[in-house]
Amino acid sequence: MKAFLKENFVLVLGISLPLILVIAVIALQSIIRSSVEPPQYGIVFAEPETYYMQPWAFEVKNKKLVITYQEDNRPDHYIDVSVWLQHYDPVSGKMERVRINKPDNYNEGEEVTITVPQHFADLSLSDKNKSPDGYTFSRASHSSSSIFTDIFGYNSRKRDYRLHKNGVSFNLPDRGHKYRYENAVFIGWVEHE
Amino acid sequence: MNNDKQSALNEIIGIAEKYDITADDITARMIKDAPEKEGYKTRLFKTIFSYLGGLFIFSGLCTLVSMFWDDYNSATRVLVTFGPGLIALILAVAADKDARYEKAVTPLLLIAAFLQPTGLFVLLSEYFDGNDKALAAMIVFGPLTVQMSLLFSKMKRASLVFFWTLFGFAFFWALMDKIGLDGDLIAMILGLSGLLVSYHFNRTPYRSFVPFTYFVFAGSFACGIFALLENAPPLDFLLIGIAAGMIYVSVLAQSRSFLVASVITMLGYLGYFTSEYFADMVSWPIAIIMMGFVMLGLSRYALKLGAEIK
Repeated sequence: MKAFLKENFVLVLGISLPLILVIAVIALQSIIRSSVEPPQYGIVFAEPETYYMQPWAFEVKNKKLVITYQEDNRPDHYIDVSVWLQHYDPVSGKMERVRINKPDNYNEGEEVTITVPQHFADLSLSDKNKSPDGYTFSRASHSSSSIFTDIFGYNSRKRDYRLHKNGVSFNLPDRGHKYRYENAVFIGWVEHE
Repeated sequence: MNNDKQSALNEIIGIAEKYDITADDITARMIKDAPEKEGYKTRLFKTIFSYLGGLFIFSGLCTLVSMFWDDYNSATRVLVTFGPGLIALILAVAADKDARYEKAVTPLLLIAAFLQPTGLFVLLSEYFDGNDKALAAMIVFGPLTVQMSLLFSKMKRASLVFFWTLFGFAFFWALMDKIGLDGDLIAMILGLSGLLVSYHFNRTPYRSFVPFTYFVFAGSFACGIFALLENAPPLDFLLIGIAAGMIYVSVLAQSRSFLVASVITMLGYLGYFTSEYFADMVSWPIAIIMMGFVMLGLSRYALKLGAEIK
């Protein structure tokens, strides 16, 4: 063993460098994660069907969700006529998704209040940035590509959303390759009854 | 290596050192003398048409598969991608045991190295749902790295070392991305790791691919560390020292490709400093001229260093 190490010292060093870093990062993440209580409060957020959230607006009034729809005079391709309303419960891991559409017979410029789907209407919400247990809803900040890979045309920016607190992140569930999170809009935290 | 071959090698090295003959001199002479050997033209035509024939067959098969891709079910898609790769691998192992087919081994390994990961990605895409590219890359490249290293322990070929390196570093990149490390940090760490691995293999008989890996890993290290230190004064002043260190190490490593990458790195870093700290100053044109003189001096120094690399 000693002879092998002596003869192949540089090779062993080259392979062990990234391995040591990986082990150190995983160990550090585990230690930090064990010191933080997992999120206990559900989150409600919305995602556009394609890209733009206009002309939808989401508010929390008297702890209840209010949804309004008002088109302005922007071109049609800047308007999303459908959005996905979503409720993620980190304790059970369940994600409730409901699609809401532009109202029928809509008159341009008019502000219309949309009926909130029953599941979301029953929720009691808080629109504070931080949940009662200190978590925030944010987008993953790191990129898996670098200048080196950008030279070869590979560019991958993370689109994951997560619940984040004190350096610990809990990603929202992976919904499969057809459904990536796009431009999610935070609405509120689900208060416990 | 048997004793006769080892003795002959020792004798050759002794003569080469005595008369200051380099490995490049020996290779150049062998290439120059090759056409004069008996049967050279026959072997040349045979090789050319063999490679062309194999290329045409492979291209035709790929085109055939792609034309009917939409008509295949999931199992067929996996079979037509991974299957030929596995067959090529088995044939390569069989050909390695027969001296008559020794030249077919590397092309077969190349086909296996291309088709096996393709087939595995198709398998994951067809039968599993998910958006985790890093996990998929780990699942594909991890076992292939082990496969190539096991094959190398039996077959002792440079191409296997190259594929082992390629798949191994792809696996590490995916793993480090999976645990949340930034892409630039990954590029820096794996670049450094790759340089060390290349340094090791440059001193073995399996060194034919090392110039390429030296260049790629030096580029990765340089890009990664630049992205981490740029726009972070005064830490970005370390970049010049790093580039100088790379040039120095390239001479120690006796690698021209590493030297080229290091010189390009130095020029790039100098360009960054020029634009970052001198662009708005009246002395900007003077800085450009001075940079030009520095480039000339650096290129002359690099030529001198290159001449020292035998």
